[in-house]
Amino acid sequence: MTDSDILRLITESPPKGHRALFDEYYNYVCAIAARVLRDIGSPEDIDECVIDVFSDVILRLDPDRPESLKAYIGSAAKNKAISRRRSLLAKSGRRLDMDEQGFAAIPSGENIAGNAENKAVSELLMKEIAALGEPDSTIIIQRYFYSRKSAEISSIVGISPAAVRLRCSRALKKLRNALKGEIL
Amino acid sequence: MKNRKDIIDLIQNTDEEVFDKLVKDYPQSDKKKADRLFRQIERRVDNDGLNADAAEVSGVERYRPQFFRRAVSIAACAAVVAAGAGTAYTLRKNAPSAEKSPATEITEEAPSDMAASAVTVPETIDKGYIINLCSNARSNYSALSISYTNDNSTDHPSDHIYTGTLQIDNTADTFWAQEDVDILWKGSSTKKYSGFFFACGNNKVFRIAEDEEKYRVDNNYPGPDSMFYRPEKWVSDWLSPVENWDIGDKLTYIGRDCIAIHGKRRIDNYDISFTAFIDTETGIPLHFSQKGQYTNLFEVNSITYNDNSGFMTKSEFKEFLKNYEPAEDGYDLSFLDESSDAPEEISQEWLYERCRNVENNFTRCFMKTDENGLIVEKATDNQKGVKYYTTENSGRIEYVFGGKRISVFTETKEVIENPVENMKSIRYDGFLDDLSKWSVIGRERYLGRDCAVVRISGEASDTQRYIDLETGITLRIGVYDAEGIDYTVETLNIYFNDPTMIYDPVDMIYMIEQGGYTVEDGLDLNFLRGNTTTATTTTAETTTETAATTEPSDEQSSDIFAMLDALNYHAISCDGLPTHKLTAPSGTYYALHLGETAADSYVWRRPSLIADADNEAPLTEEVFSAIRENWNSLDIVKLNYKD
Repeated sequence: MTDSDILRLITESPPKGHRALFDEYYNYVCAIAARVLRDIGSPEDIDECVIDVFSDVILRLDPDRPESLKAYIGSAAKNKAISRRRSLLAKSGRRLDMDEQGFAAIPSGENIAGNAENKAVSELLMKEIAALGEPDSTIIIQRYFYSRKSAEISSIVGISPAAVRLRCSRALKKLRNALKGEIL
Repeated sequence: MKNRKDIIDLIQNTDEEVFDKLVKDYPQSDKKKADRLFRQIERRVDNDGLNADAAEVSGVERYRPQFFRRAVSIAACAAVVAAGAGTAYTLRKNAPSAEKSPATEITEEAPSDMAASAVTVPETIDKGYIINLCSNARSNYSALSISYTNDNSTDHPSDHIYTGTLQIDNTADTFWAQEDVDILWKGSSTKKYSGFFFACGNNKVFRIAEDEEKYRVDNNYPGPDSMFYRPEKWVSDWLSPVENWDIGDKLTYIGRDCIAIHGKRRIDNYDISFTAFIDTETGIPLHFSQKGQYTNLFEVNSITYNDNSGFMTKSEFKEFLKNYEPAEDGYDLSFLDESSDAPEEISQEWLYERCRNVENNFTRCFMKTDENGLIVEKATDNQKGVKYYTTENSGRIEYVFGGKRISVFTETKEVIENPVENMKSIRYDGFLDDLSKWSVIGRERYLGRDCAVVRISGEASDTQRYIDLETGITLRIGVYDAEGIDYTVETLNIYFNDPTMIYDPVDMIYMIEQGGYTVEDGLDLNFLRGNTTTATTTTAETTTETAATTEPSDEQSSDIFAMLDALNYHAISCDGLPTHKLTAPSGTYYALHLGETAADSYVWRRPSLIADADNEAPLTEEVFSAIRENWNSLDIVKLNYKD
């Protein structure tokens, strides 16, 4: 479903439109929230952030002003996640330094292009993850990209949380062996 | 690439192109979770619209909160007012509620998104949900701190305006209140008193007037019987019968999601109307307005859940009392001792033995845990030989009594028998068997309990457990992998020696019979009607704090059961709900609806004394009074409407 389809649906039938918006961008928002909060927040913080983002977007989005929904939602997600991160940092007594301010920035393709070697390693890693096969590739991505707990992953891949942890550990070992010698 | 950290860093900090590819190629495939989050989003969006309405409502109706004090005795007030020389400074200095939790602080620390409990609030709230929530309110939080105002105008010769703070620590089973009262004598002067109250479990309340140098036991103070400490009172008084009240709007009140209810009831032949705002997550009424002959306005001004830091412990209160003289000799303060037989240095052998015998280290225990998002309730009553285990939304209750186990499926309305072995319960499951795999790494307090912190190493992850030193019960589990904590089990609430928190066998039989359950062929449920007072007892000596659980006097009990049996029973006609239950040693079950007076009180008897019909009888004044007078010696249990 395209952005304009979603915006039209929001105008014609808001509940359906909101669900379509959520379905289309849920993964994207989850990934951004996880990226910003994974080292300081719990999975519940990430979920809460996702709820905040969509609630805010639904309440504020003007469907008569078509724009790039991805950019709009991406920006809302980053802002919400940073705000929650600040709050969590404050609670934990840690200070928000300059590095923290830029924490949510996803390196653009342009920046990465300047480092062809790094990009090549990144692509190689993705290839190796895919080569792990299922359920290991899903386990690795869900665990480290989306920051999900083993118990949650277990319900996705249908094996026990203990088995998820074990497979995750072994899969990382395989990736390390496969990428031995590559320089970051 | 040298190590796993490099790989993880690369996954977590990809460039935009790879980021988008990962989102596309590896979607979050847990549809159930996505649906759940979307429902929460819908609710949040809906509530934002309602919040504006709620603000308008509260702007128009300037309610003052009240109803905590349902029946304050004049004698109690008068006694406190009759004060001696002032010791205000000492009291203020030592009172944790007054000094450490001023209302302004509580307000700041009570944001609307603060998790009070792990209760899942349904999208559509019905009466059943509200009754169940309020009946079990005490299990929905571990600690509660409230500042309130209570503007109470009753038929007393004076009006009372109370302001105060209230702290309830469910894990330590303590209650602390500090109150300032303006007593406005009608048309004349104003008198004031300030008092401090402390109660623990079923023990008596200790009261200290701010300007008095003595402490005394106060049997009239209603604090521990308040709707917060004994929420079932609120349900039986105000939500029964269910026809007398209706559900109003959702709203936000002092930052908490609430549901309004509006109802009527009759007190002393007067019609009273009321409105309450009930916290939809905990069942705590945050606002109560009563109109009619007796007016009562109760408002919680600020509320904090699950933070007992700064609360006065039993031993601290015992020290606090040393500043005063007892008003009478002979007060037994032993229940304030926090005894523990744990050695200073916890050895592996000692802890292993404590855990292995966990089931014998308490008399009764109810615990509610959050197992990585799954809410579990488990309870054991060793005195009655009862165990149960249930998970939220599972629609299944596992129940053991008299050595038999049944599984009750509340959605499909079926009851089957299962082997007793392997039922999940409060028990030791072998986690410390291999002494080479674990060590005691510390000693910390968790949920107000003295705990050993144990680290157990595993192949892919380590486990850390907080083990209650008094009982050997694990209160917290964290599973750690290389990246940090991955899985947690956290006890939300734990109660010892509170029989009202644990399903009685008669609760089960009542639920099964009233609910129209299909019972497995050949399964005879009569074992649930067994004599609960002589059921299997496996309790060993316990060091757990023992609430004063008075066993019924046989003579008094048999008199009352005989009086109940002699009532004028007729075929059932009343459509009210029972508020309490009473079980005779013979297994005869009496469901009681206890109103304010005998005139609005009934009993339903099982088995029925009338052929082919359920029976009921109005209580006579004599029986009503006998029950009230012998309340503490009867095993009367409030019905919780669990199902």
